[in-house]
Amino acid sequence: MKRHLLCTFLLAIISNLGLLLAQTVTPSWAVLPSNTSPNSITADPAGNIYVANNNSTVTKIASDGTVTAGWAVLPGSSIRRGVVTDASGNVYTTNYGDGTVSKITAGGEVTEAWATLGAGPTSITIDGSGNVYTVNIGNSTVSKVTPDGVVTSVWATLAAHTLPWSIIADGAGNLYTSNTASNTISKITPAGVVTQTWATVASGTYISSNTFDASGNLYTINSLDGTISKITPEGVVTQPWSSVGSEAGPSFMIKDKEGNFYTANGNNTVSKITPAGVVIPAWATLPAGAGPQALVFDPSGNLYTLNTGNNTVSKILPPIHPDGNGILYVDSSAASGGDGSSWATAVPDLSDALHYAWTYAAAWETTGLQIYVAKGTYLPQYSASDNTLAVGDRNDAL
Amino acid sequence: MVKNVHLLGGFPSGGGTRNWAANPTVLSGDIGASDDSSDNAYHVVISAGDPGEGSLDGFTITGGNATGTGTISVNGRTAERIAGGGVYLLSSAPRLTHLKILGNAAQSGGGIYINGSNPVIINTLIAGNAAGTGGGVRLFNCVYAPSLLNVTITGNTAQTGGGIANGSSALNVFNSILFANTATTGKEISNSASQGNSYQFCLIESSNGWNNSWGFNFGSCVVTSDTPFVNAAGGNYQLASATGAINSAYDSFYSDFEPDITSAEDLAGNPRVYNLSSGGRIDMGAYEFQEGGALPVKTSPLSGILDNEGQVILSWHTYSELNNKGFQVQYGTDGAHFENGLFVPSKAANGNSSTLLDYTVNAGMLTGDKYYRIKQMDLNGDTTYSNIIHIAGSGTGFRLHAYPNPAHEFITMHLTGAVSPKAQVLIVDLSGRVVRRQQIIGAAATMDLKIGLSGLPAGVYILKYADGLHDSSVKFIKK
Repeated sequence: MKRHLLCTFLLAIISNLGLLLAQTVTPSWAVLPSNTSPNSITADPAGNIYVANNNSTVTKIASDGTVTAGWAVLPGSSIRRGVVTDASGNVYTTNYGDGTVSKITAGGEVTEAWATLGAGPTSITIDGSGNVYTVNIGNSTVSKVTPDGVVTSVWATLAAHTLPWSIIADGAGNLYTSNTASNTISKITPAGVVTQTWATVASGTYISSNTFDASGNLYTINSLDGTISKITPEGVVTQPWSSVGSEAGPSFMIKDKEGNFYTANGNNTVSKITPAGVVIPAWATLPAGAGPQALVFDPSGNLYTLNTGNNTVSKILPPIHPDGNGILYVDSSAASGGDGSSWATAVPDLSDALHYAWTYAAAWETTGLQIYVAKGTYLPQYSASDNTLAVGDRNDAL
Repeated sequence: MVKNVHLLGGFPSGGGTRNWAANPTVLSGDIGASDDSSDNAYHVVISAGDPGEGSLDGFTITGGNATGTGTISVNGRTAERIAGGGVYLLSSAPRLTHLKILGNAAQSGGGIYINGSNPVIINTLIAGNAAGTGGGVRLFNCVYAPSLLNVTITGNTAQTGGGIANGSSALNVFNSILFANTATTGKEISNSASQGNSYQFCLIESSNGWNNSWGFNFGSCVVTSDTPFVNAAGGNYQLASATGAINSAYDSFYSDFEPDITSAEDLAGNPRVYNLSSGGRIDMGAYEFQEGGALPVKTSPLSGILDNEGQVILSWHTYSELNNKGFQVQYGTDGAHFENGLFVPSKAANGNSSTLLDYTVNAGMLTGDKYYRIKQMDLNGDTTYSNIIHIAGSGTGFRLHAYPNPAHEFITMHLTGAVSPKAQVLIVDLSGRVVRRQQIIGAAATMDLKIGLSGLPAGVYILKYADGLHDSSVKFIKK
């Protein structure tokens, strides 16, 4: 029994590293119109994907891959660099040209100038209370918009000429900007107090999505040298913490619910970086010319790459996932490394399947999930309290 | 457990027809040294908080050992390491069916601990668990009543409440068996709830009649010291013939929770009600007594219809076969005397099968009233007869037919005879899940209704028609 557990544990580590498995990639899962110049991507709680385009449109891609090219058409022609959704499925997009934020309801109703900021925003984020923040590269300010639309156009002021390009919020409501000209990260408290040089990282730094780990450390991708920086909540920097290499040309980094990071790379690959910093360079490979520029996860753990080189969105399935009917297959006699989408590729361990189900539990609210289990004996291997792998721990449960 | 996740055990290795009896799917707490419970998981299964539509169906749960100290936080709720060795329900009411909860231990609730929850537990065996309080089941602070339906609780041990220990909880126990549990106090049941807990159509062991300390006998309980089991010492909790548990529970309690009683199956994978079509009644406990169950071939009741062309179509299926030669179809005009019709050889290789096999045969043109039965014949010469069915010769009555069978993309329901203007048509799978539903308004005396089947997995389905006057069903195969 002990030996069996050890084997299972090692296999779990190996499969977590992804060494055994090629990822299931659908390169042209969605084909976008050629003239829209897509710029950024987001997903709503129902699994719809939205792409903000530089021709002032928003493209919607339903979870089944159906593309609605001009789902929202906004007046004017401007760079729409940022797009986010809130918990209700409203879509917000920044308009660099006239300094506004547009709001589009899940039903497609557009409020073009939902918020007027007075300066060109490049990036947008939402905190846990539903407040919308933009960082405005033109005048190095941060604007705040409350959920009911009250605008504070200069909520925080950053140092001039630092080119603050991106903004994110942490769980406590602090805001962070990555400043391209100074290779620094600024921190702004919920009260609006600015620490201009909270952390100094490396060239080309970019905080592209919420990349905080469970301990509150922040990770940034530095696109010019391909390194990843780690910054503790106190602002202590480890540089480099890890590196995907400058030759890969990473431009964007995202974190999954297991704490792994993924970078979209100019060499048409996606790299995976484990929570320990181990890099799997070409974790997924996209067609030549794809040019992945941004990444987003949907609630079921599918990863999407926005490919501005060939105007497509690629879909990468998680290592474990159900079939098209929402059935996940578990069979103790199956070979290790199966993705669970059929009996032939069943997941051998029920606890791994349940861990997947728990991780993406929000996705089953609407669709449900069925797990079919073949005969055999299955042991709990994950902690009942936080679902971390803890083989042989008496606190494990199914 | 995870919210809105259905866990279904009992599939064969590599996939195939589900049968939880033939394909034991074991959730084991024996995570450390084998057969040493001291290092086992405290709880094998925990469900905490709103489970949504979540369910657990077709598993054996064993080896939990909740004899620890302190607590563990699960989904923001506090679970105690002294409770719920097999299953711990904490403000959570998932649907639990076709489970064997065996050989778990705890200080409180060896098999299952239910705290502040109102789950429904159906067709489940809770045996050989041990605890200080509530060897089989421990309830605590359940304001809304958990329901135990066709549950067999036996061979559990405790200081207090060998079978069930009810602490301040409402509880409904229907069609269930509590027998041969042991405890210092409250051998079968210990109860501290003053109201809101009741037993109906249950078999409970005692030589002294109903004990008011158990709770309320809402009627039709059997209190006896005669064992209802075939061989409890050997772990066989099927019902022995001629015991008080047979045909003495209440179908409606069952159908309240699982409406499609015709296709429901017991813990052995047999029809939940034996001979339902011939007036059979549901038994008490997790297992349904099968007439002729000692014979190695287990068959469903025979059913038959008259099709559109006046041909008699007979169908039945076998749950398992051992040395089965085949089936002799027999017919007669009075229901007492029969002559041989066609012979249907076993579909199983060498007459042995552990999976469900379907038999559908055309018994020829009907001329006048006929009675049919099938004689199952073993290779060694043993025989057993099915139920007898009657096919009416007159052509004016209500008749339901579905074609083609087997069906591919669609099936057509053909109705003749008087129908009421509002009807409902369901297609259900063998697990009782409704997969298609259609309303009919303004039905004609003869009508055809085409129902699409695309997207449904291949298998056996039942088309059910109900209009208030008629309630009829026909089985078909989707290829």
